[in-house]
Amino acid sequence: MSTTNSMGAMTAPPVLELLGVTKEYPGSPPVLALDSVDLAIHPGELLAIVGPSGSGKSTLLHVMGTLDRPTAGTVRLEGRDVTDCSDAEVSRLRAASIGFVFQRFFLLEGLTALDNVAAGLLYRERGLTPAERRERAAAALEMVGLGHRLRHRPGELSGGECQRVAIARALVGRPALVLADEPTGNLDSAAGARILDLLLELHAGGATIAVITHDNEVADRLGRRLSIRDGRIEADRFSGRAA
Amino acid sequence: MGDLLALAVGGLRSRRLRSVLSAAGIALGIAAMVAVLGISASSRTDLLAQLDALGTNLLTVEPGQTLFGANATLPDQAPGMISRIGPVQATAATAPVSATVRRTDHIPEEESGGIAVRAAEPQLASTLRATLSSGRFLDGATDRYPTVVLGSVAAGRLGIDGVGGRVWLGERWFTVIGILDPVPLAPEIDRSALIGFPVAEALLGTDSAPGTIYLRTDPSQVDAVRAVLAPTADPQHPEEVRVSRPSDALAARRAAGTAFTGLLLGLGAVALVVGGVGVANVMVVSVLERKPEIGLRRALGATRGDVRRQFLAESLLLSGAGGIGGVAVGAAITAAYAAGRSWGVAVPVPALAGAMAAALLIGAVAGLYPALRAARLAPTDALRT
Repeated sequence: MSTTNSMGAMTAPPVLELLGVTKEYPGSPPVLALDSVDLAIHPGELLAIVGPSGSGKSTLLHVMGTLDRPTAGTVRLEGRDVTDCSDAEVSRLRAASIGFVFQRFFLLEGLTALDNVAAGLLYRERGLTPAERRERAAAALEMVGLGHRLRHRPGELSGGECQRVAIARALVGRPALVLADEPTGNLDSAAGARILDLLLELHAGGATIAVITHDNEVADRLGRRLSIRDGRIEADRFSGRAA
Repeated sequence: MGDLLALAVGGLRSRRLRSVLSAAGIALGIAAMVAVLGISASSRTDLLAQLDALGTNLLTVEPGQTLFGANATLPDQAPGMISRIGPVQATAATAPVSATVRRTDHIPEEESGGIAVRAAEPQLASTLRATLSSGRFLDGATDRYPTVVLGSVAAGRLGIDGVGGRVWLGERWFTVIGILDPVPLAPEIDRSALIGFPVAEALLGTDSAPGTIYLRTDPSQVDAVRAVLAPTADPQHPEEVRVSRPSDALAARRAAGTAFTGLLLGLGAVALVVGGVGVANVMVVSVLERKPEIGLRRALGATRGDVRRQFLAESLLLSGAGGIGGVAVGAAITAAYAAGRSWGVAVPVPALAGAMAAALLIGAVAGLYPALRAARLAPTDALRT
């Protein structure tokens, strides 16, 4: 099992690094969701984390995204150990470094696409005026191909379009790492394929993206494939860029 | 700060009906309190204006009771003595007349209608600042003849609505030459038929032992005059003299009316607290419903403090909007009520500020628990729902 980066970015420090990360949920018997996972994601990577349901994917995503703390082990985000940070510090780091894309989009119903994306900057760069946030949000929506849908509300958009809005929201602050949790899970296959195309395109533009999925077809199209089962990393394969 | 306000406005706008209803709960309580305070302040202002017009410098001297409980009498010289007290500006004596007044001689004597016949000095009207609804008051000419001036209630009971009529008074006809308007400072005059002292003595044979003596003093010397009135009126038996200040009675009567203010204010406060419970309820439900939003915001990098502030701001905005609405409605109720009673409108500014402060305090208290709960929510739990 090699941790060599296929992108040739071995010299760059990893964006995210997990060292011996264990997550145990209390109960009788306790559930071991993650069992000393080691993982490093380097800048410019596009990887899939695959596994059947119950394999610990979601827990891994939460720990990677600093939404949850590991029971043991170390999580380093852009070289900084977040395991001992306060909630406010972790929140700041999360705001600055990570963009989330969720299966269920989590758009705010009352807001337009533009304002939903602008909300992605609300906690990231607190000095911005609403006008500046909207300006950047418009550019991000343009980038995901929704420049013509700025004033639409989530209810007026298709599922694929909603996910594009969510991706624009994740990217608007130019985070070091985008974590996508089953981004195509709520979409039909055609819309899902287009979302995947978009992620590949964004990756080509330099974004670092980790996609969590149980869908092997999705995983096959990404450069690196990390298989997880029963809380352990089973395989970590580089297949080069597929398309 | 602007972002926080925009967030709160957005959050409330997405649940418009519920926001309006819970703000209405607060508005109701605030409106009740503002209206109660406003109406009682308007009433007080009106009382002061009325007292201003009537003057608070009117004092009355009456015979009281002797030590043994019998009715006392004032010495005949009492009015003269009183008028010689320095700061006394005017005095007018009245004396009870043992006669009845009736519409005609066919009406039995027992049916006096509760109207007292009194002899009065001509300056009584000016001393009381009483005005006449028609005719004129007794003067140096008419008080020698069988003429009578009726109080407002007495005129009504006798069925007299203008001058020129006659009433049967003490076994002979008297001509009505004037009818008084109500006299707020001396309601007993309203129920009296007033005749001159000379005619009372000549025709009815009344001994003129003084009854109630009305006097006006220099407004700054009221208390000093009041202190010396009893010994001046009756140097031998000052304890048998009753001195009173009718404007005090008027104020006391109005104060009794405003004793309800406290009770109503309490009801308003209960309504406000109920409104606060409504806001708390809406906020708690809102936190439960918006778990995904909370999770998303945490994922976007919101700290616990950010989430707490967002929900607290919504709660404050709700109660603040309710407060403003309540103040407006309360002021409008006050204005309408005061207009209905032709009082001046007086809405006390401290009460308005206090009402707003109360609304915001309620909002803060009601929003605190939901906000803390929202902030404590683990991001992973919030996203899982």
